[in-house]
Amino acid sequence: MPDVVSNDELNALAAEYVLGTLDYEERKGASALLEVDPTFRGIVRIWERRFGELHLMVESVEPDPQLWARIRPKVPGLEQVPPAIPSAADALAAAISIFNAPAAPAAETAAPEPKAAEATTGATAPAASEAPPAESKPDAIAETELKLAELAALLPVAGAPEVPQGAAAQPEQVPEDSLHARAAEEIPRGFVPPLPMSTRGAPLVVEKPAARTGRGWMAATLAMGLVAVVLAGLISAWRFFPDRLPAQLRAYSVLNLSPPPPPPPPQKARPKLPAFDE
Amino acid sequence: MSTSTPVEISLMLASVANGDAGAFERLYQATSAKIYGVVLRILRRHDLAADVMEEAYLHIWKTAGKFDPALASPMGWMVAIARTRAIDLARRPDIVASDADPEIADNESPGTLSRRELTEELKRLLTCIGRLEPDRQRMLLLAYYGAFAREELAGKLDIPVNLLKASLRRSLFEIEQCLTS
Repeated sequence: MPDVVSNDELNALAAEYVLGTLDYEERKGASALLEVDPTFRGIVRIWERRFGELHLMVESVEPDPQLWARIRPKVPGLEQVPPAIPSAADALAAAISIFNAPAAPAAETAAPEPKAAEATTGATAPAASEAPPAESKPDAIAETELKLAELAALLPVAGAPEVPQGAAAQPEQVPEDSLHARAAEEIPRGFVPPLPMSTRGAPLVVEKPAARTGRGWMAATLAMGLVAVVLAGLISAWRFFPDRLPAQLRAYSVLNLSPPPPPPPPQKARPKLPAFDE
Repeated sequence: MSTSTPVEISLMLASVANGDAGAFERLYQATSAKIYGVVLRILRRHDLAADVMEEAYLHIWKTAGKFDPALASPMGWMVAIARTRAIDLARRPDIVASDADPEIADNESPGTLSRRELTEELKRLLTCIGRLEPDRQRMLLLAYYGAFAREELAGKLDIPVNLLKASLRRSLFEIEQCLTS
């Protein structure tokens, strides 16, 4: 590197730093400069902004779902949330299974909710895993040629301003073709103020993860409530009309008491009661 | 995945800046595929790309407050963070290019662009790139997407490094002239 770095040199260094064409030593030098020289940092930011939108032409590749599992525990506030939802559902399942076979009908009514909870927690996983990063592409350069040809097909359209170049071409005034019109249509959409956002597009991204954290809890709470209602019903059934319950649901079998020691008593107990009164 | 608008991503970033972990997860879901695409194209190895993603997203989590919508698009800001780290790693002498996953190694060209994604800024840039000679358009885009060091890029394009360097710098200069005119 020369001792005296001209502005042009600094500018070129910044541009190549952003482009990514510097070799190891040059990049190391540029990184060091970035740390100490605000001017250089400013130029780099400008080049980053200039090239920034090129990312739009890069194909998305879904990362392995494990990647989020790696990042999540390192973010305060996220580390406990996802395990909490499955374990709530698990606790529920465990609570139900305590009542064993007799609880089957109760489990049936309660089941849809835990399933819903699972569905919400699971929803993101299949989406993320459906495209495990695997891209098989043919020959490198040929492929590049192909894509660049596609791009080139695009460029003349964007490059239409070639013509009014002489007239101190302002990029704005030129391509009034369908492409421009279309893009112009798209852009205002982006500037819809925050509020309508939730009703408009993007439910895919905005709602799904919300479901993961928020709805999981709601579902678990609902499920718990349902279980409580069913149990209350069962207990009042034991209290008020025990004989109308199917054998499997009666108190003694549900609670695993001494199985059928009092099977006849309930029937004989009744006739006896009035006898006492007399 | 990239269906979120810049405004939506900006809002997520603003929430992340306030320490909203849920917003960070939404931000990840909305942006990670695009950023992974960018990073993977540069590193051509899933293991390295994953390392860079982790580092980049944790950096985004910590510095979201520094994002200034007046200076950059939210995706442009995030891509720059990830790209810088990817190129740093790609240049390290102990990272051998031949370790690249052959399936990804071939994946070095820009993807197709749906026209609705064509922002005003990108249109302006493509207009300026379009004014370069075709060979130099190709060189520039290949350089950006693969982030190849000059030597490697010269090899790929089969031209001498010195010529490539001169050509690259002239192209960058012309693009700057075009963008600022």
